[in-house]
Amino acid sequence: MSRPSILPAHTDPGSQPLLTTPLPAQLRLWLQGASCCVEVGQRVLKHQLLAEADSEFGVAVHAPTSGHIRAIGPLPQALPDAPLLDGLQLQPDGLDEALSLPAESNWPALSALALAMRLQDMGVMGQHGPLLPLAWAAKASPLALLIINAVENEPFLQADSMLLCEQAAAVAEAMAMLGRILQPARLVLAIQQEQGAAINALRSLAADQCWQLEVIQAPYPAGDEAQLLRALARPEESGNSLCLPVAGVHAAGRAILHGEPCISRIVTVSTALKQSHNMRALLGSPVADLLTCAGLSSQQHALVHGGGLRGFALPDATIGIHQHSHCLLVRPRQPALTAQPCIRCGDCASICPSQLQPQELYWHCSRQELAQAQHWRLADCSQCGLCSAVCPSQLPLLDSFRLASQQLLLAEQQQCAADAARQRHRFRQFRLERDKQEKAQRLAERAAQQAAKLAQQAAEPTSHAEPTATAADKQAAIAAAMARAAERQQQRPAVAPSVNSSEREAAIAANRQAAIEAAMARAAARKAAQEAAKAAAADAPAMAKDEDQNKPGLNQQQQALIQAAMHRANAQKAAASSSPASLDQDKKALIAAAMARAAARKAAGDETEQDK
Amino acid sequence: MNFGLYLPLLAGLAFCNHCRRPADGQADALALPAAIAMGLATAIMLLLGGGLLTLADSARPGLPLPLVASVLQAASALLLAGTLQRLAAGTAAALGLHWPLLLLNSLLAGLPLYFLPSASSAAASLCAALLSAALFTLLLAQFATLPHRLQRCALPARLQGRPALLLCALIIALALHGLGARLS
Amino acid sequence: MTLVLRLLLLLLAIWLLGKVLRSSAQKLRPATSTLPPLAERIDAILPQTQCGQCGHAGCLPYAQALARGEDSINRCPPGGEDGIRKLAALLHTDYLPFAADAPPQKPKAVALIDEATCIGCTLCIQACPVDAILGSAKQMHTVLADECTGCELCLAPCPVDCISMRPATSQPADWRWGYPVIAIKAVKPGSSS
Ligand code: SF4
Ligand code: SF4
Ligand code: SF4
Ligand code: SF4
Repeated sequence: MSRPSILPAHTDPGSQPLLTTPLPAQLRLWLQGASCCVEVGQRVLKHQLLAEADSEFGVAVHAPTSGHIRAIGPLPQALPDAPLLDGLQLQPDGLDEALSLPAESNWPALSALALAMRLQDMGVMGQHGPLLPLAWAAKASPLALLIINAVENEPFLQADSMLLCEQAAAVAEAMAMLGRILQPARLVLAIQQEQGAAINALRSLAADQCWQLEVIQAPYPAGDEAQLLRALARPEESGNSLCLPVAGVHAAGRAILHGEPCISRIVTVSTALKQSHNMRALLGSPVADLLTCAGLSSQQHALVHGGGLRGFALPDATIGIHQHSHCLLVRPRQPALTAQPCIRCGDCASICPSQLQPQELYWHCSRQELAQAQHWRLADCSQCGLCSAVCPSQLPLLDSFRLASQQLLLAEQQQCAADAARQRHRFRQFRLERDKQEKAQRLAERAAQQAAKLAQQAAEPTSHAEPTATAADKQAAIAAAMARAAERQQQRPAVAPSVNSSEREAAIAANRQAAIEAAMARAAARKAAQEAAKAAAADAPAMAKDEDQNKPGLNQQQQALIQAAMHRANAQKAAASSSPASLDQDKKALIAAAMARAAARKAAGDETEQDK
Repeated sequence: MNFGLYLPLLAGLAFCNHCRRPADGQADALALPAAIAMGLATAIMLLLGGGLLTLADSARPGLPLPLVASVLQAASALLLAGTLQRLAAGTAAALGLHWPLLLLNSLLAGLPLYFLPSASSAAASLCAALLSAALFTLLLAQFATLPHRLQRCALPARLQGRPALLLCALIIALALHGLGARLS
Repeated sequence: MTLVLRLLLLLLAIWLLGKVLRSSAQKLRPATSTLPPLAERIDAILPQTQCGQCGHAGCLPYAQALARGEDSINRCPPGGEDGIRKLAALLHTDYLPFAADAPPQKPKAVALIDEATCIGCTLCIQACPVDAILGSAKQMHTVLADECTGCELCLAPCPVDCISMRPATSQPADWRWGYPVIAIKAVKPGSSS
């Protein structure tokens, strides 16, 4: 692919010095993924912890300078469409009193996970969230390839080159530290051919170090993680390699070796294509301050955050910069360009580094046909923005690709959540069913035991206690069944939830009533069993004369078994016709079957007891 | 008969074929295979009809050409339709290979071939049959993909759908007429 | 000679036609026998909120009713219009808009139990279809936000009304790019250049 003509050749920071912005009057820090641990009005010192990471993706926020917290709440952020997100406003007091944080004295002993968490606490951010992803660090899999990405991620950015020129030694130190702790099989610093000054600065250091310098020749989107991995990873390494931005690595070195949390970053402020300034700015500095430092006023210019290809316009200059603000582009204000229909010139297709057909993709994305967009390989779009830049019709190609891929991601997440919910719901149903069965079994067993005990108490070898005992058993079974019915009713709020709240209250009240009734029934059954046992005891002497004691009992057992079988057959038949209308019948049949089974089981139990 | 008439005739035929296709999701997904299948079927019918005519001519010379040719073309169309019906009825129906359409294509695309002035020798007539089948396939494929492409044009609402397609068919027919007139 | 050539070409064309027919036959019937039953495929599309707003006792019963053709496809508010479109495509029916009296669609929310007010009655646990509430009798209860589907079934049973719905917490991954805005040039009559 030929180098696109719209891209200016990379310019080196060259002789331009690294500026430092003066202390701004107001700092606005972004609190996404972090929960605030200071209060409004509180005085904080430089490096003091302001917010702790509250999720896997968040990083801690530290005070860039000493001052007072003025506000905590939604603030406009340097994001497209400037959404209001939780932020924190800090008013510096100019004293710059620093808290001295201890350096990690025993850093070589840190594990990968401990290092990742330490970096998160120090507010060191990588491409997505903390520099070392916690999930990755927790897996503790051996690392085949660690790429330190010093390729500028857009043309005419200089932040990374500047960092390497100024702080080559510190970066080398940080890389050695990472190499020592993460133990990658290969540690590579990737840099682009055009970054001559930075390459020179590193060449002198690269000798007898544990890392190599890789000079990349590929044109623009070469700085993307995926592209770098494709370019540098050998096939066997591609599964377990990691790519870290060099700014984050430098900050990690400062944090671990010197105990300095990440509170500033280097920003390129670029006016025209030729003239640009690099400055180290505190995180949260308003954009206007950076412009003033570069000798510009924010009034006459349109501001773009990020590079010229992937950047987005900022609505005003009071917004604070964040860890991803590598570049601010200042352009003369122009009337908004109007989008025209696609003329199928094919410019976008010929410039696309992923060999896609952006015009087709755009058509499907703009009509929300995500399946079609996927078919046209939306997933392969690196969102480099070249197609938008060349489109003569000014179509918002990149924006629609971004939106569509976000929607796809969202759909995927929703699908995952739905699958999890389905699994949990099924398990819950299984659990309820199992609990019900266990409970019925327990109740039946207890009732049987009681009846048997009573029968035994009443008279040792009584044959006539049998029928009454089984009657008692039956009653117990009825009680159990009622208890189960009550239980089922109790679940009704979950099962038939379309009722409104008053109905549901009524249902709950009814459930309680049913439970009470079931308990009463159980008590009654128990009493009946006792009475039956007493009666049996009274009859016992008369019946003791009977010759074959077992016969009636056996007959009854057989009958019970036959009944149970019949009931079960009925229940099966009822279950086979599983239309919702027969639900009640189903239930009845099930209850009957359960009763019959319990009775049969008990009869069998009695038999064994008698055999003893 | 000459190419100036024959080629626009093919365009009209392709348009008719396209209009007969149902407009639902499955038909959309099968539009291109259907076009290719119909093109191949036409090629088979033309080759078969031509071959049979040569055989009939050598067996019993002197029969009236228009009658024999139309009978043989119709016979080859019905033969193909019957074979398809026996072997792959469902797929053939889904691809739009119905017997009336096959008959129509066979007669309208096949008969004029025998009266073209340039198709005097056997090799030339074979060539003409192949080329006309190929052109017919191309036209069918063109009409199969046209609706999608027309959708993306900012056409006035009154032209959307069939009218735009008809206009396209007219333009294609005119262009082919120009080409054919130059050929013959 | 030409006759032989003609025959060869004829055979070639027949062979090609056979291939085309075979490949499109595969496209026509993507091996229906290996597909899961229709109710399962419908269930895979439904959002699994298990809220019962469709009038069935959960997503699977609704899917089964749809598979039997006993209900219409526009009953599931959590699925949204997208869900109806997917159902229509799967069942080969027309898109149906929501009925006028259908419950409104809401953005995804999760339940939050006010832990100070909770009396530990366990009623909400019994109501939750996905076991997203933890707690035991007379102990404070809490909602597992990751598992909560936002079905709102736990709101009504709570005797002290301590459960409220909160919008699902945002993660960096949740942040969305806005819709691309195309500036429209105002064309004034009479100002044509
Ligand atoms: S943004 Fe995507 S489609 Fe456009 S040029 Fe880059 S990779 Fe290609
Ligand atoms: S560059 Fe723009 S106008 Fe040209 S084909 Fe691509 S989208 Fe269409
Ligand atoms: S309304 Fe939708 S989400 Fe709720 S139970 Fe019915 S199918 Fe499931
Ligand atoms: S916690 Fe409440 S809202 Fe969430 S899934 Fe359970 S019952 Fe539904």
